[in-house]
Amino acid sequence: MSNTSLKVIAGGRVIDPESKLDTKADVYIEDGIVSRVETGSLLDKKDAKDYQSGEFVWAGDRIVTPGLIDIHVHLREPGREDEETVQTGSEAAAAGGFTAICCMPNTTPPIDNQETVRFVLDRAATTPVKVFPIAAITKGRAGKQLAEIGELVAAGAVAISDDGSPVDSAQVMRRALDYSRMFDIAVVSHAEDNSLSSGTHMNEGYTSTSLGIKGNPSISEAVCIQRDILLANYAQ
Amino acid sequence: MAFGLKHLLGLEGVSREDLKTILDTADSFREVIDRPIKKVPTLRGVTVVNLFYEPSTRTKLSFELAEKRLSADLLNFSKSGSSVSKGETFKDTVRNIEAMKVDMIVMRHACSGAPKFLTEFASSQVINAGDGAHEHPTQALLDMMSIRRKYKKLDGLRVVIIGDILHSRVARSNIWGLKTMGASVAVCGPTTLMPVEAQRMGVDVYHDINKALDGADVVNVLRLQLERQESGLLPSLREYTKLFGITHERRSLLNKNHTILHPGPMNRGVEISSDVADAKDSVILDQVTNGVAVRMAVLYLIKGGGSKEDE
Repeated sequence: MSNTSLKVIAGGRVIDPESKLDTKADVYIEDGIVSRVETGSLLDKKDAKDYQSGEFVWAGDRIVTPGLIDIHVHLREPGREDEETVQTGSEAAAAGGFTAICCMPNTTPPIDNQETVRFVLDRAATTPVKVFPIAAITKGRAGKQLAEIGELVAAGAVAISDDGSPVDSAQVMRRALDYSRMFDIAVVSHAEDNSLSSGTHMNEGYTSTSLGIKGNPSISEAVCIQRDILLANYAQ
Repeated sequence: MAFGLKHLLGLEGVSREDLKTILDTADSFREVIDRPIKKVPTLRGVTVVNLFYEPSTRTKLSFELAEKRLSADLLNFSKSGSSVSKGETFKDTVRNIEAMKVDMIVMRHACSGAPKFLTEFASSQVINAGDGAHEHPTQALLDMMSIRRKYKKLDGLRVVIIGDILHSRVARSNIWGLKTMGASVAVCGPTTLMPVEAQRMGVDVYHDINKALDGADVVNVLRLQLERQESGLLPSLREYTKLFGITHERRSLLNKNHTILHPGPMNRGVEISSDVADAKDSVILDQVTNGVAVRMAVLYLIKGGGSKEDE
């Protein structure tokens, strides 16, 4: 026996879009890295007691996938710890099969400065999943002045977004797209035209008409997406 | 006669039989309120709360009078000057009122769906006195009563509702009630004040008033909120009047034996001209009288007056 650590996850339905796999398979893990996905001679549940090579995990009829990554989560910390914290959100992610999450910056205060990026990363030091903060595009997420994007990236932000609010001004969005190119990060649009959506409570359609509730038209999202596509294409 | 409703939240989905029961009962109560002594002991010992979260004159007075004429005990609540301004939640306010032992709640609220929400946690029976742009069932019932008293039927009549359909709870309740009773309903108003997919409510949609009025029996003229101009939905009230105002000249497009309704309060010279409002054959004030009778009927029937157990 070598002193490498071995593990097998057996009996599950293995789904891996990357290798276009969706079948019953056994996944062998060596020193924390997937070394082999066996689709031929499969192990059985009763093989567990005879399995001497390492740890045996019976997946039964569960789905086995590469660690999922959620690129849009709200951990609400700092500010709304009554709703969610870095710890509780990470635990929920882990329970759902996620191994990494990107948290949005609409906290109080927002993640628009290095210190708050570091605070979130500090809270995430012992969480069961990796946490990648997305920082704000503009100071205070107010849509007026660019945040210190270079500093934010240096502190650990992986992308920028004013999530929760759109960047109303096309000029500010254009500058964000231009400026962020220096740091090779994604700009994540909160796609909503407030002039069309403000004061609404549900999707616009027959149901909003019959209930007498102010409906949000789908174009409030589409208008913003189209604008941001035009701006992004122009910025390159 | 079994009356099927525990609450009256709206007319959507209310059966033809229940609507007919309400209208028949309202006709009987109309006789009561035309007598010199207008009071009956029907709801003695029943406590009704009028919970008005939005300003109202006519609906509130009408409900109060209906409750008094049925000999109910009543409490009046209005938002201003209440614990609501101290930050108490809607739910807490209602629970506190209910703890004083009340039987029925009549509620007006600016939010669509508020009375439905109320029924989810309150133990009282609920009557919707208008919720946002959703429904105003007793207004539609009094409109229907006024029409039925004139034509002795609703079935087969052609009714046109004119104005701000988008924001109107009166329009929605009228559409559901009239259609269930077999009338054909059209709505007419500016495109910016017409809700999306309005035709799916089973109505004909018009933006040309001359076409809408052509051959109609009944016109229900909605109040135009003056702030629609400020919010940019209309260029001017002047243009609205020109395109959609009900004037003496436009009456000639209607069936000879026609009726013009208005739920009030009227903007004279905007959606309706004074000569139409005050015409000898105007039923607008008769609607208000019928409103008391209809509300007496609804209070009585909801409380269980029409159920089999009582007979």
